[in-house]
Amino acid sequence: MKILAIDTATNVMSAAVLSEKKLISEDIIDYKLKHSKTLMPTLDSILKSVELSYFDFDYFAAVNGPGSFTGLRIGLSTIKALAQVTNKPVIPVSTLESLAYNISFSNGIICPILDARREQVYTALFESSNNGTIKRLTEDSALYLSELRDRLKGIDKPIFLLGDGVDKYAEDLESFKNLIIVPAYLRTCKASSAGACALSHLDNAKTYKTIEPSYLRPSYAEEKN
Amino acid sequence: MNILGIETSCDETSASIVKDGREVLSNVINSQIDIHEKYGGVVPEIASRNHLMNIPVVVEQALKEADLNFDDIDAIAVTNGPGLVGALLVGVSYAKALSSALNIPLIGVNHLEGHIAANYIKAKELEPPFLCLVVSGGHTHLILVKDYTDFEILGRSIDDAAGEAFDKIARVIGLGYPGGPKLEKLAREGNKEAIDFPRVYMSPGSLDFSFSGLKSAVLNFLNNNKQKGIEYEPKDVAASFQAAVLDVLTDKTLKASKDNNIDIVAIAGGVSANQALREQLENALKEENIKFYSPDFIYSTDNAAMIASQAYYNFKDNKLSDNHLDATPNLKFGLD
Repeated sequence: MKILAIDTATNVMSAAVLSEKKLISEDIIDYKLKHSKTLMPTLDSILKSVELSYFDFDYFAAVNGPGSFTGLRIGLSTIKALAQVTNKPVIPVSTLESLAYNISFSNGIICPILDARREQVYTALFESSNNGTIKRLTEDSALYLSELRDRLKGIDKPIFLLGDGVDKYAEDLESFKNLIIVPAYLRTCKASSAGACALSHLDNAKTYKTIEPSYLRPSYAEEKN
Repeated sequence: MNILGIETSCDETSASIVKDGREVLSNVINSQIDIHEKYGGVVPEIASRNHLMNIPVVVEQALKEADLNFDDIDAIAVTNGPGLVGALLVGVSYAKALSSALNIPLIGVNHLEGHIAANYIKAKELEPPFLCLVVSGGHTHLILVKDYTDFEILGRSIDDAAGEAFDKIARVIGLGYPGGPKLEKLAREGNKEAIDFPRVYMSPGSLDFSFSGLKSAVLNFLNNNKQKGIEYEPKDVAASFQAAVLDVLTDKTLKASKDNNIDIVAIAGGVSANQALREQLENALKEENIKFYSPDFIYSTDNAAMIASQAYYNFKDNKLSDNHLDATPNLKFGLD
């Protein structure tokens, strides 16, 4: 079974081809923000090098949020077209859960944080065991730092912090002595993690029509109304 | 040759299949007017969100109405500008993936060039060279269409677009969104000679437009009357304002055709749906023995058929795009 997975939710653009048995190819680009230009050439190039066509996949997987609204739409517009032409299902993957899969053997609490602007982070808590399984503890949400601190109080297991919010907010969480900052090479979004996460959520498959972004926020105009 | 066109530059999600540039096999338009109405104008983020969910449905419908499958499509066309960047990105990303997966050419189309091409759909005999007045919410351009993919801008608005002025005046006299069609309807009942609003012609011989002075004149008129407690008829304001815009558009179009020895004139863009403008232009041009073309109303406003039509000529001139195509919100005429 083959999956094509993409992640365009943050500054990182990533695409991967994988099966249950192996990671066949992966591309990760964290260089300027131009997903609209780079995503399709990256996908075409990966498929060419592994001699696959878009019709060869059993599933598509797309990170559907939270994250940059525009980034999510670039990824989902692309995936919708691919799934529609090939008539294949799409597995939506949470940006935060995909990040948890970066360090699935960490045996502790995983706390991904993404910069959500307006002094907030997109976050959720996951529990990882030493056999690599990931269990979700809280839903994806946008929290103020104070709310996140309250949430982390009373946790005595190691807390692994990762995601693009680390640079900006790790200092504010220094008081937690059990906090471990995940090293940079494992900290950011990558499509192989999204693909691995999708493999454990095949029952959540959507169609090209029903897959939708998880923005977690209404548009600014709707908020004001 | 069947081209599937995709258009998401503003608040309409549209897909269409056009054969050989002129024969429309289907043209599906999902308008978001009702969604944006309560905000008094198009909210870009809301437009983008709706495009994303609409686009596969609209494309599916376009295939169904044409009784075709993806396999019957020879090329994908998409508006890559000008327009709202977030809205354009949905169409461009989707179109690029369709083209890659189907392994067929991708053709990026300038939205304004598409508006001009809307004329080819109705008038099978129309061929360049001709002059086109493009009037919409974002643009007022006098364009010399030298060939299907060769354009020269003879004149353009240096400030507000004509449609923008319509929308603003409609808002201040309480007509709501979208202002243009509502203002035109009200103007039909009014006296266009009731108020003498200025006709701005710029320097002598200029083919450029300016509508901000006219807009200010209308706002001043309304404010002065309000301060002095003078009653006025909104329908007369609408009719007098519209007449001021139409006079300038007509005179400059006529001048441009004479200056360039062109005896064919077409009109395009959302404001070209304005019946009063069509009539005034047609009458003025008839006196000079100049042929006048206008698209059917459904092809005046944003639609994907016009994009697929222009794409056919881009294709014939080998003006193709590739998987690096990006949305260009301020895309210029005649540039890739």
